[in-house]
Amino acid sequence: MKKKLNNIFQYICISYTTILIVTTLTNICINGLDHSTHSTFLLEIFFLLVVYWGIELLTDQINIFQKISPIIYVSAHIFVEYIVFLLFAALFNWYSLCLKNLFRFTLTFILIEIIVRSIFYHKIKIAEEEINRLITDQNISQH
Amino acid sequence: MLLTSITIQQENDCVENEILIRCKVIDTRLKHLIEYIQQFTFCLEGFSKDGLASIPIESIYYIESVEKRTFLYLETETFESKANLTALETQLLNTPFVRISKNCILNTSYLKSVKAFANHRFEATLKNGEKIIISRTYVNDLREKMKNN
Repeated sequence: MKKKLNNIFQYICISYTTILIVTTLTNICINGLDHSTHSTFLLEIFFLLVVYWGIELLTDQINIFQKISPIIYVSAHIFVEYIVFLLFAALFNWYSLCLKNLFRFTLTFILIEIIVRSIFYHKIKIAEEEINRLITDQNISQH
Repeated sequence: MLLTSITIQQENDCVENEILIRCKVIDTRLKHLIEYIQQFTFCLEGFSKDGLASIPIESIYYIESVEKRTFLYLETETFESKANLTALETQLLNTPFVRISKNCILNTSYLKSVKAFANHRFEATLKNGEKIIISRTYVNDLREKMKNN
């Protein structure tokens, strides 16, 4: 059941993202690039995620990041993501520069980080359980 | 197909240990058994301060590459290998060894437990108490290897 739910969740996420990208690109092709529309914002979010993924790949290649404590690693990672998020917000005029908007965007960022990281943490905990179960099975058969 | 009997012939004039498998077809179970036995058929060369040694692969806990040098870690000893990690990975393809990070290959037979961290990496605890890091890129490879074991 868990595996089925996991597959459905992945299917929905991939389909949803694909639909958003395709419709956004179609809208841009038909109506041209207009920063005031929501479709351009969706494409900007997509680029933001690509940049985030690039940061992930880069930190994966650097050995020093594998040796530091997981808490420091995650904190540093969130901080870098936050800076990139603010840069994108400023670059694409997601908000006018004022303290109230900065507070609002910081809260949004924190909320998204909590949700996304919780989902992924839950997934790796499931993987941990499965591998430990396989190790136990292997050790039993070895004895 | 079930393994119905095991015959062991102990002979004083035997020069080399030999395993003969008599079967009608090689099914998945038998294939796994053959792969398991195969790891006992070859050794890796490693050198230490005492000189060159032939190391049975089932005694190796993990293989690590550090600054372009490859080391074979046994329970308490360490040897250096002349082969690089990629070459060793190919050589150890049908054995319990699996790549767990850019610079490490682990013998899953010595795996005691794994622990997941918030940074999506795993820490493997080996039967000798040593701890090594599993990169998230290779977690699925480890899981698949464990399933096949």
